Amino acid sequence: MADVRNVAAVAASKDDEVLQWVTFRLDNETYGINVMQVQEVLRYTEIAPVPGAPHYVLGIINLRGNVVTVIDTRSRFGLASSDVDDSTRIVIIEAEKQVIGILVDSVAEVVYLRASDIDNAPNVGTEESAKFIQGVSNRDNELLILVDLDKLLSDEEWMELTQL
Amino acid sequence: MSNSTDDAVLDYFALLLADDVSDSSEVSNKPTVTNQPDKLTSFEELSTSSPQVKPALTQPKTTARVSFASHKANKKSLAQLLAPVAGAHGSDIETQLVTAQAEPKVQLSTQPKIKLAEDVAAIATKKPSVVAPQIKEKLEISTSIKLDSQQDKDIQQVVVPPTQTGATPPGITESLIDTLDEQFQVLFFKVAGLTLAVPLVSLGGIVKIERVNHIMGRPNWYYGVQAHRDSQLNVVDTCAWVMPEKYDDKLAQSVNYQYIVLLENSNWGLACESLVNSVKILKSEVNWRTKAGKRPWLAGVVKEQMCGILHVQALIELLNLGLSSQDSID
Repeated sequence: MADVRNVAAVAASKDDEVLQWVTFRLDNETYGINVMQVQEVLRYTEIAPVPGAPHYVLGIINLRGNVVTVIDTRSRFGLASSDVDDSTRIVIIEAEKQVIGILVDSVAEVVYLRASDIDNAPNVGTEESAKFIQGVSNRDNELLILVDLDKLLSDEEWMELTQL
Repeated sequence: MSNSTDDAVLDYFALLLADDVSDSSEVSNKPTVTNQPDKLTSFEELSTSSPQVKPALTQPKTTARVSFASHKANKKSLAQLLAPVAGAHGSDIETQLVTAQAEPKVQLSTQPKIKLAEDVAAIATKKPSVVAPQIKEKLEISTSIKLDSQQDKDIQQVVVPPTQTGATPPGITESLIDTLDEQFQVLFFKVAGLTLAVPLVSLGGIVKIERVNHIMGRPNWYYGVQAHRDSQLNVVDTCAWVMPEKYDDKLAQSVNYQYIVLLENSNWGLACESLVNSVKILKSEVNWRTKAGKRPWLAGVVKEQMCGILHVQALIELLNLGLSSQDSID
């Protein structure tokens, strides 16, 4: 009987996968991105603007000899822009087989979430930015909004980045 | 509430209801009674002076007039006048034929049928023996058609729930009316000077606003998400949803939400600035909406407080569909 219980518990735990999420803050809200897509977190460095770049591109940075495009996350999320300060970070991520940077207000921590702790986001939006949200989770009475980085840009926009 | 706020609220809901009414039927476009007291008086005089002629008068018009009579005395007197009309058809019609020949008073009416009766009177005086049976037959046909239409109206009058205009409310409002007791409790709450009422049977609870998380890509009336009992509450920016036309940056900054009024057992809640009180009201104290279409979330207007009463189920349906207050559920 105990064996049966163990098997059931293992099966349940396999279904209820635990994922790690890097959390960052933007405009007083906390967002999470899959830790497996995060390469590193940088302090703010000078971002060189690129003439003729799309509006969602802030510019480029030199990361150990590699050019990395930095996305204006606030603009992408439909938020007002803000000044850079000491806690501003550039999170280097990999999505759609490309390495890009996203500018965030601050990086908070890495959290563990069970799949069962993740709820669907309220489905009332029709705007483009609504599709970035992979789900939401309630932690310590605060909502964590989980972002699907692959959907941060459309297929055409990912293509456009490669041609910068 | 100050007088100016009262006026503003009254104007607002009057506008909403007027908009609904003006959208629809032909009858709705003829709110004549309140502006034509003389006609009413003459109608009463006519009815009392020659009661036998009543059925031949313009019954459909009087029904429409009753619908828009605002004065209680007028409504009562018209209701009294309509009662015998609805009751006795056959015998009166026969009487009408006879009196049409005998009494030229009938010519007061401008309706075609009475004109026919007038013609009958004229013809009957010339050739009573030959023409009278034919005309009688014609009149019987016309009156029987009229009787049918009258019977239809009578049936409608029997089914009509208590709405101020006497019209049939749309199904969605009717279902709400059915679920409510004759006397029911409502909670009044305020948003940006506007008072709204929600029946307590449709109230899921009241939660203090604590930490509302704003989520990107949502409509501007979507205030955000607040954790509540291990689930997420979708909080509606009530001001933005109910009166989008008035909602600007200035208003948005002035609104200070304090509570969330939960809608039934859904995960939707309306943000509000203050809770006024909870009182028992009668169904008859509400001017229920009479037309389907626009604003199904507005079940009617509470007459005394002059505030909108919410149809919570329709509201939830609209919110689930991501629709605004101006949309209808099709």
